[in-house]
Amino acid sequence: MRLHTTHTRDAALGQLRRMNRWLIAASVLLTGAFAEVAAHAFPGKTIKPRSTAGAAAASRKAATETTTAPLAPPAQAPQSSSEGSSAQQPNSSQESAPKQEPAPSQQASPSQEAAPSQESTPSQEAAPKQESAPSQESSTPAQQATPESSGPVVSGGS
Amino acid sequence: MHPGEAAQTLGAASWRALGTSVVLRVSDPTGLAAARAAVQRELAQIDLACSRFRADSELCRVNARGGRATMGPLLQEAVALALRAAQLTDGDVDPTVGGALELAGYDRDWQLLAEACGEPGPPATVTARLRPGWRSLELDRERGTVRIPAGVKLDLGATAKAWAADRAAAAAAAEGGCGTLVSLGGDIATAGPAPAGGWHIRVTDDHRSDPSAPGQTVSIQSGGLATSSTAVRRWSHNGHTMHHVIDPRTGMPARGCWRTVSVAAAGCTDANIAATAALVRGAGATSWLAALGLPARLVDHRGTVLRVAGWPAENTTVGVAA
Repeated sequence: MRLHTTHTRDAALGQLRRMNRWLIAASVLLTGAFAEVAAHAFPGKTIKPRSTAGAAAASRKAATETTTAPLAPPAQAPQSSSEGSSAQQPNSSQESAPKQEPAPSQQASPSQEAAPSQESTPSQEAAPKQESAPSQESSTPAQQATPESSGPVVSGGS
Repeated sequence: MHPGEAAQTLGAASWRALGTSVVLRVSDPTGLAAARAAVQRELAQIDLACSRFRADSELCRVNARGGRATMGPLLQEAVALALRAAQLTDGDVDPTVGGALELAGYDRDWQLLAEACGEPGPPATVTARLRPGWRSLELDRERGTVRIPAGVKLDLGATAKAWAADRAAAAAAAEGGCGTLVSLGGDIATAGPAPAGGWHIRVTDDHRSDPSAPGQTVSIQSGGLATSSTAVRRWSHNGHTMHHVIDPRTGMPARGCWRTVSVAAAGCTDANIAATAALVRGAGATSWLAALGLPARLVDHRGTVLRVAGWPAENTTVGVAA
């Protein structure tokens, strides 16, 4: 009876060991199988985020590439022209010597330009006497053929 | 005009748009009508997309909405250019200064502002400043959206006008079939073949000045030329004198050493970016411009003129390298 009981117990333990091994092996296989099935069952869920991230990265890269084009110098530097120059502008015989340019408000001393109390107010700035271009313009667009000697185009602050 | 060059008849037109003066010149007068129509069309489109002073503009809608907003292709391009300007100038030119400009009182079209400033307001100190920074913007070109942080307002004034000049000149040259020059408030772009002797341009403090105003006359064969100045668009706000060039680091009008900066570049947009950045950058601008190879003429508050990177001396044909 005792021997029978011991033999039965050992046999049962052996069966349990085998069952455990099979269960472990089966669980590993099933985990892999389920993962594979899930991956194929929901491809959008798995792939789309990666794809979006890639697209966003590509977009950022593209944006960076298009926004970092350096400031481009001209094909040819401006040339000096005597067109439209006035008697107020003496020729510069020494290129490296800085010249003094009168202040725009025609103040007697250039240093007065920097003084806040001497700065022009908007009403002064808008005064017709100081606005040559607008005063020459009419409400209807002006259009004409004109010789080049009519004068240069003015580039200034706006 | 240089000796020996024959006078060439140009077509010319001028009118007002984008709150400033428009000057159009074409190398062939027969192409003037088509060129003008092209310029007007381009400017109307850009005004509708990028104006800060039109309630119905796309930019105003985006500014009012805040957060993430969808934009049309034109405004996308304009915002991308503004961000490029900020990137290339280390933030000296920043499209997020719209709030600072409003705080400084520049909250309407310049003509309306000048009229309003005729009425003196109570003196006070401007203390509120917004410095959100261009890096706070998120532009998604693929989706056509921009995300603007709360409280930030875009201002594309430092780039959009010059960009409009570039686009208008290109369109005018294509449709007019001739060389064209377009000036928008002194921001000058050219396209197509230049007339004999080039396009003659007088650089001075104020684009509204007469061509005899103090300055220098140069000629360019192509590209763009822009001038930025703190001597114009000045107004009084709460007892303080303001101007439109904002230093993004302080949120207040720039107090650099330059009064007026003129820059020549491959296009008007790049020229204007460099000129505006130079005003903000101050003394360091000369070496920066020279390193970039951008010919420039800088006038300080005392009237002293400096030339860099091949900008010519007056009445000579030899440039001065910095």
